[in-house]
Amino acid sequence: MLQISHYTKQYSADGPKAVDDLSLHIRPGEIYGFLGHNGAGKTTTIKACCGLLDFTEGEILVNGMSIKKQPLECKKIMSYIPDNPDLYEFMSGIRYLNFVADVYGVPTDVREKRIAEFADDMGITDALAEKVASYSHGMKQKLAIVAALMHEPKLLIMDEPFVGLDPKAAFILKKFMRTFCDNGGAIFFSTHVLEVAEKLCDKIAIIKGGKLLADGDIETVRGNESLEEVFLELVDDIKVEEEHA
Amino acid sequence: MLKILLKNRLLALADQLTGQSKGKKAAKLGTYAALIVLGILILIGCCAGVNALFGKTCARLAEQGEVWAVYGFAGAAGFILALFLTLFYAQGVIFEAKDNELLLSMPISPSAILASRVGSVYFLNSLFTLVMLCAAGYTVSAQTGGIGVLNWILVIVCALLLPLLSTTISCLLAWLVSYITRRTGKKVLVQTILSLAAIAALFFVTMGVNKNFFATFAESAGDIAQAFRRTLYPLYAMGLAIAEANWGMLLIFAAICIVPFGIVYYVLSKSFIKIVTARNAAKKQKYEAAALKSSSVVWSMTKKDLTRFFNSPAYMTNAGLGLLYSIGLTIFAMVSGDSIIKNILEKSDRISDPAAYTTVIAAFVISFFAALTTISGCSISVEGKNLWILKSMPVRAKDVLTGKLLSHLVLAIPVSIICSVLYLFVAKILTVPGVILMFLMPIVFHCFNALLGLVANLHFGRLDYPSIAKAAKSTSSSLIPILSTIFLVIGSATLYFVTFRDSIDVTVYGMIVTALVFAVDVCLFCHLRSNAAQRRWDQLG
Repeated sequence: MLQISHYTKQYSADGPKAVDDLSLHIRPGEIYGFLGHNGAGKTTTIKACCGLLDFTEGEILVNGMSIKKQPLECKKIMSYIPDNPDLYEFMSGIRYLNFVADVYGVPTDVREKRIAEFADDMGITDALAEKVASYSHGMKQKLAIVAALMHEPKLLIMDEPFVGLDPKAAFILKKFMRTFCDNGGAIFFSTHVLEVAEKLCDKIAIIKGGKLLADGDIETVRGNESLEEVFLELVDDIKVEEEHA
Repeated sequence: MLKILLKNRLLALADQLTGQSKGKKAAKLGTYAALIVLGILILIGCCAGVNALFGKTCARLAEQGEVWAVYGFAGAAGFILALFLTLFYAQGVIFEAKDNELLLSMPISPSAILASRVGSVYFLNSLFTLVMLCAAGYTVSAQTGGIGVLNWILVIVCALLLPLLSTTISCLLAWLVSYITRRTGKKVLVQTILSLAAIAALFFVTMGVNKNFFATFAESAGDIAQAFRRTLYPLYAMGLAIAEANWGMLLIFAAICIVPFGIVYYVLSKSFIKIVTARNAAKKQKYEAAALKSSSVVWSMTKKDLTRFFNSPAYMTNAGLGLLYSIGLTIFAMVSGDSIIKNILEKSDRISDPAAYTTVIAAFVISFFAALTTISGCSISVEGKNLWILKSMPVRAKDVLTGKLLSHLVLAIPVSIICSVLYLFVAKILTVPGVILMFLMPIVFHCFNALLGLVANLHFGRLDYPSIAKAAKSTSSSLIPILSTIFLVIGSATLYFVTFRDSIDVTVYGMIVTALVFAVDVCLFCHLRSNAAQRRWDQLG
């Protein structure tokens, strides 16, 4: 569903590589977690996958289509949820959702049904008449999630989706992510919460300084250790036992 | 602590004025130096301007022994100017600052936070007052053969005292606006009404200052001074303190400025936490599902941009001012239409077809006001932090840009048509080509202005503005359509009178100009729908 091949991003010709020769493959049915410190290159990679950022080398394919050459076709079958959802604050929640549905060409009866269902799941139905400006961070995040689901995408790309969500919404989102992938969808998301990645992901990739340190099935990557231990060892060169000692 | 907070506020203010938020220290210092030079130039310009306009009045007042009134009038002008220009700034910086809660969580007293914020309002107010009082001092000096050092010192002292009064009223009005918006939840409505009221007041004052105003003012200066003494005593006291070095009056004036300021500052500092952490008391609307309507992508984009426009008072008043001016001046033309036409005809001795002339002149006048509508000129910059939404959607640049173009035109063209209809009654034209021209030319110029604004914003616009208001106020790419439209309208009208008056019929000339501008419109529109525009769009963000 999403194939990243030798992806390299350099913001300036003589500057360092923000991401260097990254290759990942996210298949239908997989929840793929993307881990790394702040500034490791997660958001740069995610933005490139969504067609928001041009890249220096490599290729990114969405369902076999190049995000560089066929961006519109790629965007029709995927959705992006950023870490800090700056939505149209001058619109009400319902107008924002209707706008998104218009752009994706979702029929009115279908959009009404989906809004009712997803907004209810996220617990934001009552607030849909209010302006987005009055929403809390968590509410905006929930609205962004509902908007992302309006056109039933096959691929969901999310940057820190659990930040700002209350426990109920986080639980519902996790459940939804699992169901979404069980129905053939694919999810590629970044997170700092290792427990979430450990419990939710089928596969993970760990990135540091723009370079891929490890990737694959969660069991393969962590071996007999916890994900936290593996992450700290790989990213910070910290042996957890030594630290404890 | 207060020193640090005040320094931060003044640096933020300087960044706001220069449009810089980051950059090398040397570059920043250079910009600040340029700002100071600009300030000095403004001061010199104001001194010369006030002397030119009010010199005669000042001389008459000096003859009557009423020099104080010059300082009084200058103080009143500085006071009103400061109040107009810092009201919304005061509201934003004191009651709606995003870092209020952050600072309150730190070991800083609320009164220090408030003092730093009120200090920056005072600083701005004192700049306006200082310029006006120095200009008054210069005028008096020029008209009376010089004033003493003591008078100049008193000018400075009063320029430091008077802003306390305007700051007090700015703070009170800002508190009132915040209170009303919090109670009603109608922030956009309240701010729009206030902005329009301020613009309308400025418009009527400007319209009232015609060529006879200064002469009348000079003749009855003595009477006006007496009325001033009775109604605006603080400014009378200030004027007398400066003009006659009257220490008693200086004390009275100082008390009038300091005491209310002290009371307001004390009350605000005691209730600062309560005010800035108060929740919106307006009742929340509960959503009730209703049938949704679908729209095409382009129309959906247009509606989105229109919603943004109508939900930002700053965007409306900065970018849509031309629409208001068009209607206002059309009404003005309707009221005094006959005398305007008579004037035109009297001044043009070689006019063979007066009816055709008035038609074409009216068409050019309506077209001129197209320049002042800059909705599309900042429509990409106002996307700012929201740009990711459009860029992550399966939507082509040409659809987004067409939506932005339409959001400008659906507002501008109806206004243009209304103006044309009203001018038809004023100009009393009956020729078919004249009527067509009256409608076509302004529409074609509105399209030119909207298209050029969009192209300029696409290629030269910034996207890093922190808010819609800031983008609407600061986008320099808006200047390109404004200046180009003004140049085209005035240039083509002048060209006719200088070169073609004897060889081409005025209506035919108007048609030629319209056709040429239309051709440019088509080229600009094709560019917006081209791959080049798509490539530029892809590079944004």
